[in-house]
Amino acid sequence: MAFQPVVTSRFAKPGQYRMEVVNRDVAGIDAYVKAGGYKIAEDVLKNKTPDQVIDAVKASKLRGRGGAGFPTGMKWGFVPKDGRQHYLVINADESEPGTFKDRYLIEHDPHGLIEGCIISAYAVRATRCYIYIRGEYFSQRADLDRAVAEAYAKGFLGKRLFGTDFDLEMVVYSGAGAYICGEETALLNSLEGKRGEPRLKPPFPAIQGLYGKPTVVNNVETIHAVPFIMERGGEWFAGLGTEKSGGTRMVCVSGHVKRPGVFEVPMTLTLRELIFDQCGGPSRGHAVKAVIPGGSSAPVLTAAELDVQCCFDALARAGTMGGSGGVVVIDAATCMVRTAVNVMHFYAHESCGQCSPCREGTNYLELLVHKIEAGHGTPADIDTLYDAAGNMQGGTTICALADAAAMPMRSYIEKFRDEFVEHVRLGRCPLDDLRLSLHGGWATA
Amino acid sequence: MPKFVLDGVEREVPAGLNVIEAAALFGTKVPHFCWHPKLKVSGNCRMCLVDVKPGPPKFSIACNTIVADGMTVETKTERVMQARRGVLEFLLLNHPLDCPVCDKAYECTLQDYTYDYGISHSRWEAAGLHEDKRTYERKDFGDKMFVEMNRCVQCTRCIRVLRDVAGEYELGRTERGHALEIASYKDTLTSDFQLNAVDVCPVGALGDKKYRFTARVWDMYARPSVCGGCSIQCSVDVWTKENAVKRLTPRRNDFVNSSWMCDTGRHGFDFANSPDRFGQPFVRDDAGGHAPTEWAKALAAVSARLKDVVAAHGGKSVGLVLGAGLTNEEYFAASVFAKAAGIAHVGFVPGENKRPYRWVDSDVLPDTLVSDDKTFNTNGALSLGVAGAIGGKDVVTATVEAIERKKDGLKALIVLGENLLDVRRTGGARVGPDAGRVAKALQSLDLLIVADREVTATAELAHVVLPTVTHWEKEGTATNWNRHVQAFKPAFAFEHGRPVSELTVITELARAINADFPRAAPSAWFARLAAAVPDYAGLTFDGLLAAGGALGGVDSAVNAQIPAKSAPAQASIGGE
Repeated sequence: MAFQPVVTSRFAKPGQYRMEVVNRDVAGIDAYVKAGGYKIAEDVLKNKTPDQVIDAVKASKLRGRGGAGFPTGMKWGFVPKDGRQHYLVINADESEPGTFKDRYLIEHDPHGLIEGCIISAYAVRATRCYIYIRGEYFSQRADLDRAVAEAYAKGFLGKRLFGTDFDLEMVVYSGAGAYICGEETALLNSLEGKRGEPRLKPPFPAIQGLYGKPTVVNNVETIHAVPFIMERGGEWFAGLGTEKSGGTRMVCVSGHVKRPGVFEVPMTLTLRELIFDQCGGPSRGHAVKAVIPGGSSAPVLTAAELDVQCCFDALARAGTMGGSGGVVVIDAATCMVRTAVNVMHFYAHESCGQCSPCREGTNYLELLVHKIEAGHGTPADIDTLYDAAGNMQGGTTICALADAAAMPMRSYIEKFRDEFVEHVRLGRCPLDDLRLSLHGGWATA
Repeated sequence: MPKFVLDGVEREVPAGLNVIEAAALFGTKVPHFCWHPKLKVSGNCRMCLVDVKPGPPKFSIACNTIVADGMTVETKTERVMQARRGVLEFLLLNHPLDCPVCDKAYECTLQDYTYDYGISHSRWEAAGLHEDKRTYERKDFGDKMFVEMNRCVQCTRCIRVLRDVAGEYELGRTERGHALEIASYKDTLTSDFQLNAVDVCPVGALGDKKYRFTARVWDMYARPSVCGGCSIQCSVDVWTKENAVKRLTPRRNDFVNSSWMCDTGRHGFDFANSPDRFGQPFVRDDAGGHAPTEWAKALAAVSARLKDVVAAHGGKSVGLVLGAGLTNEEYFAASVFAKAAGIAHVGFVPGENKRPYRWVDSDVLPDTLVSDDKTFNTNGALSLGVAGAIGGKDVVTATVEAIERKKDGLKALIVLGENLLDVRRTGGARVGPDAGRVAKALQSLDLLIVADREVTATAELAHVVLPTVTHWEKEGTATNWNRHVQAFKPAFAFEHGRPVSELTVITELARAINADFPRAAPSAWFARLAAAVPDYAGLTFDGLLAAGGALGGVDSAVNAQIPAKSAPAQASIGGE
């Protein structure tokens, strides 16, 4: 049977992995309702209890699609049943380098998100929902605002939805250009009008979140799956996936491939199949050298390691992570040290600066790897770089941004150490000549 | 009382302590920069990383982990040591090697921890990156606080002190990442409590401009006493170098000032070093001027003249005016002296003795860190029965009138620690008749004995002027606005001449009239007053040395309506 997408099914061409937008009407509420939209939410609110929704999501084995892959049903189960104000917050900050999937869900299926929010808020007993969207998504913000206004106008948001006694107010809030605001507690601080700095955990947001109240923070793609789960059952969704990870995944492929794009794939698809079959393989005539499988925070894989499935657990066993699904393909004409410089510069720029290892360490990593790349490095610098990165991991910091810088940095050294050594030995990039001959200059990596 | 395993040994601790506090009970130091027992948890320095089970395989921070039953904590494993080395390396990457010129040396936690846990060479320097140390533009925060932000480790203690203790959110984080800078939106910090941030700063980024470069820490002695700037009587440490006071720092006292003090009090020690202090008695000579006289001769002269006056006109012709800055022992001894000598006219000018405040939240508010009543021991005098008014009038007016009275007026006056020509109380308001009238009255006395630290306008008119010491050079007790008594011992000794305490003066004058009057140590006088004055029953001098105690047998915490324990550590949910 041909593959059927789930979360992109309302607007994407069926029967293929590549997300090809064929239905541009369903972004508007009339087409959405006509296609059966908001019926699932109505059914849930009228005929199911919040706990039944949580049970269904637990059975679905849905895992967070924002990068951490935490089981969604379990997270919802942590919310206390205490009669206090609860909040649902949608993390649409999508800033992980290499990731651009949520953007399309917002552009082409905003009502799917809203319907997912209604059901999810009901499950966690939240009567207010905030969508935090990255500031750079200007037009997507407009799409969302329009959809929210449409939903309010039709009574799908506001007081007494579908005639039940469940209220849901929705607020869309724009960020202002900080990757760290994608970290859930930094997001909450930003939402509260404070500096976007992560909070200490514990306590976790499910216990003490927005304005100190129990809060569930979920990714856009995660929430998009919820109506489908309620419509067709948790077991159905679980069956689409692997042992511990239900459903399908969206992945984005960029870099040196012939046909980059956004895909919705089964968890069993391998990276090799994704890159070569779906994307046509490398684009510049050089072999694939390295692949970042889950956003720049994920440790890099070599070309020999691509027979791993896109499943969270398989990638974890391979020493990397599924992360946010941002797959970046790097060919052999690309210097891995220069790639590392680019990546380390990002984390140094985005660190919030609260805690010592990240504030100083991301700067340290950037300066050291830059020094090596510029040809001024020593062998000791490589060891220092590797060792310093090790001191930024494993709970030494308030949030995982430091791990997100340190883990890939270490993986570049572990898997491409020869390139670092060559930079030191030659006093310049070993690919300089190749780059010059191929591309006539420094323009490309 | 949770039981937990600390570094392999089972321990039991009171509930509610974090791992740093719990470990400290057993002599285990968990290093930390940003945690402070009186401030909300920030958890950002990451120096206190420890391993806690049950829990994730990652490190936990000791400051934000409350000890629970069945917990296992490791603070000394190689893994933890490596984490500490890592954090120290990160903090030293951008830290300037200013130790030779930095005031904080010897009391700098970064220095201490680097010595205890760090490595002795810099990989940053080995990598040739020392030119790339981050620097900030030089900032100035005003007249009081010295700032060198290049030394800052961004622990945010200063922000939290100003925000939560002083109530003035004047400092905050600006920028992001390694460009993060603690800065102010104001040009000058205005809070009168800003220098508490200097105390808590773990490095030399913040300093006290008054203190800067005046002494090295290892050259000073720090001795406990109390501030004399107002009726709060904050517990302090008096830091002296070669018997000159160099600075005051607040000493933690959960019943009085928590861990803080106001800037005015902190800087209020110049009087102790003042060149106007004198060290030997002066006796008026025939020419009308004052001749320096050695103690034995001066005391002999004053005793003889006092005896004469009493013999001729009786004890009721002698007046005794006390300052508002004497110790409890001195007030009590003065009362005993007056009674024994038949002196009826005894009094002092009290400051406005405010009623106790209710302490709000879990820490001190500015209202309760500084009082408008700038007298040191009004409440001590009042609680010991010294009259704050005579005949319904303030003591200055009453004394002047008593001198001017032809019949049964005062012929002699003993003034201890007060300048009657210029008595000022709350708000700077002047007490008593105009200076001209006061001077005329004093000049008409047969005998005017003045004891003070400096030669005041009143002293200029005296027949005998005796030099006295500050309360930092005395042993004694004092009672604050909140009926809390603290005991203190001498913190230093004035090096020029031999000023004495008012207690000595009272004793010698008393013995002139009554040879039985005892020469006793202040602690012995305290025992005597505790037996005689019901409010002070049950208190002992030694018992009051650490943190003091409450009058009336009431537990200080109840009396002051504050929690006896320090503020509960709660995580600040972001937004500094």
